[in-house]
Amino acid sequence: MPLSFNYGFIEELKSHSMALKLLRSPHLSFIASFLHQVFILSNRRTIAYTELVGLLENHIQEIRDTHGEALFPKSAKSYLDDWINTQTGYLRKYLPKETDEPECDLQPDIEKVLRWLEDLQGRRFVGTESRLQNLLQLITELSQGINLNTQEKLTYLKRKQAQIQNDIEAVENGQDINLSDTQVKERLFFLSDLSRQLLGDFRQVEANFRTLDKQTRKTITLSQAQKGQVLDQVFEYQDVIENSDEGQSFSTFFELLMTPEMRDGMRKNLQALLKHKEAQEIVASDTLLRHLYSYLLDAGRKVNTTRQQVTDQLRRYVQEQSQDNRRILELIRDYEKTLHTSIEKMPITTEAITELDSASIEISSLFSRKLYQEPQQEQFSIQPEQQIDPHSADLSQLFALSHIDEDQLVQHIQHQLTHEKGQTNLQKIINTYPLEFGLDELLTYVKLACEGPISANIDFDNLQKIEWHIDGAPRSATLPTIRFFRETN
Amino acid sequence: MQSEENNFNAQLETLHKTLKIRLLKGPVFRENQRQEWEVLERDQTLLRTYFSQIGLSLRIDDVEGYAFLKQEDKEDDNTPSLIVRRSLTFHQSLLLVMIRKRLAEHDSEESAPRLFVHRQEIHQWLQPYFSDAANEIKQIKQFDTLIKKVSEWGFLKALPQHSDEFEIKRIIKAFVTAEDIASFTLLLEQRLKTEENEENHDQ
Repeated sequence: MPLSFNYGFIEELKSHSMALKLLRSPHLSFIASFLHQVFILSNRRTIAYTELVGLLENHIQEIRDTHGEALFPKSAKSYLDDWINTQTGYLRKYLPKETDEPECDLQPDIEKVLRWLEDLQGRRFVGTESRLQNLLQLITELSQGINLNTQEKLTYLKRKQAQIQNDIEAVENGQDINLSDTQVKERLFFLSDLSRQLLGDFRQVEANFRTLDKQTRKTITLSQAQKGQVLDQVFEYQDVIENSDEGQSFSTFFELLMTPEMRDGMRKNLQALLKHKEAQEIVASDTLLRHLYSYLLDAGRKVNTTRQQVTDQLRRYVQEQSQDNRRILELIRDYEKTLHTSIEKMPITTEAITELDSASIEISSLFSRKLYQEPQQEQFSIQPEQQIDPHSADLSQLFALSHIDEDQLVQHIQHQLTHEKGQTNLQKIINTYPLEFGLDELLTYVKLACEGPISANIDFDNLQKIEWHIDGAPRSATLPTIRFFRETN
Repeated sequence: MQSEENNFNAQLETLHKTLKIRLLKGPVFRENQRQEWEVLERDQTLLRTYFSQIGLSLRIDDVEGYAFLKQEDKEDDNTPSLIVRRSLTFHQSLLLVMIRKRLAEHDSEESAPRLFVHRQEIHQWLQPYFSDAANEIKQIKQFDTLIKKVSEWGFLKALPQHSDEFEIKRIIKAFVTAEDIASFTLLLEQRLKTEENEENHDQ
């Protein structure tokens, strides 16, 4: 779509665009802070309506606590409905396939506003070098991709080969060809920006599929095609989503994302970054980078489901229903017309005027009913019929739902860290503080390593065997090596 | 081995029994009875034979995922009908057509698999066909009674946690067909004609 910046166009955009409406809204801080927190920060693609109401209640309470009790007096539900109910609201509410609880998702335009607000706060230095490198690489890739001349292709590949040879020699001679700290930092910021953009684009891709679907259905409805022509249309329209540029690009993206090489490669490389001093700081503080693969997977899956659904439904509609549907709508228009004239001319009766098939059979047998019985009076008494000594009941299991004290384990780790000058591993901790509760406790350590308050490194390549005793019986588990270290800041 | 086979047969028999009873009691949906649905699709010939003995035909829509029984067309014999026909009032048939219309419009617009509407929207469909009531509360009550009736028939379903939102069940397509709508219109036209004739007589 060509961009336009003339006065008339922008004036029109100003009144139509949901994004601009949100930016103008006096409640911008209220709405944006909420939507950013629940959708963007946690990378949730969709949230159940009822849950969203609850989240908004909390949000309103938090704002009131710090900014004044009088703020936002309406109920969370009515605010939320305001944002949904308008024809093209900030949120899309729909009924998912499997449950009866409506879900909400951000409209792509609103996501753009939130991303823009992120950008606006321009937190870090602007790296130009990595972008230039990227540009160069893209241009080369393009020119190679469309160049059919074998000779030129060979020259290019030879040049690349020579370059690699140079690098090999340099490394063999002990020269350092690693990136400088600035270069690393710059690339990481670039990476983080790029990932953000990519994730931000998924809602748009999904919305575009939906728009394509709507347009196709509209074309079919409007076209006054005869039966024979409809058949041509079937072939023309049924794969409209799959064949679009967006559809094709997304298919390739999703296939690539699902390959095990992609998954393992991305996880491993991101893990490796955590070992680098400069990189570690940035990656550790950026949740998006740390969870990049799973975020991409979540987002990709959602888009993929939508694409699948839209493609299937559209194909079915084109093949079977569009004809029938149009006829029904025409008939209903006739019905409404007649209805209007008849309402003016005659009184409406409340008697039955017509009939329709039901779908069930009513069998009523006289003897299926019970004879009259005197209703029995229920007697309740607070006196227990059977006396049980309350002290004999063993309720300890009831109170022992979780007997593992996470804080205690954190302390174990910290003591061990102090003891070993800031670096230790799980085996050593367990040697010092033997497991009391067995597997549960071990898993709690693993949980702490994954998300916990102490920096940890999980090495999937090297396994470690951890042994303990429960009631004298030996137990062991083999798991990736987990190292804890103290952050140096 | 033998007993395992017996066991399996017994299970299948129970499933068939359940299916037959369920179908007699009302439509069966794939989304609610996945296991039974599979058997229904696989053994449909068996089931058809069973039901045809009592003059019923089994309709299965495997795309939309519902199945129900219909009275077979009778050829002048005097066998009684098993399936009751519901009598509809003017307003009930109106609401049914409006629901069917909303579904048709939805299908011609987008692919979202499930369609739900707010109670207020349904009120708005009905409003134009009711005389301007002085008593608005009474009118809304009337609308809600209609909605409740149509929900009992299974064409609308209130969402469990949200009593003001209704899913439009796609099975309405099988019950409010093109022919039905055409016959509703015809009926109105005929009534209009008789009314006009009577007026002419009066004059």
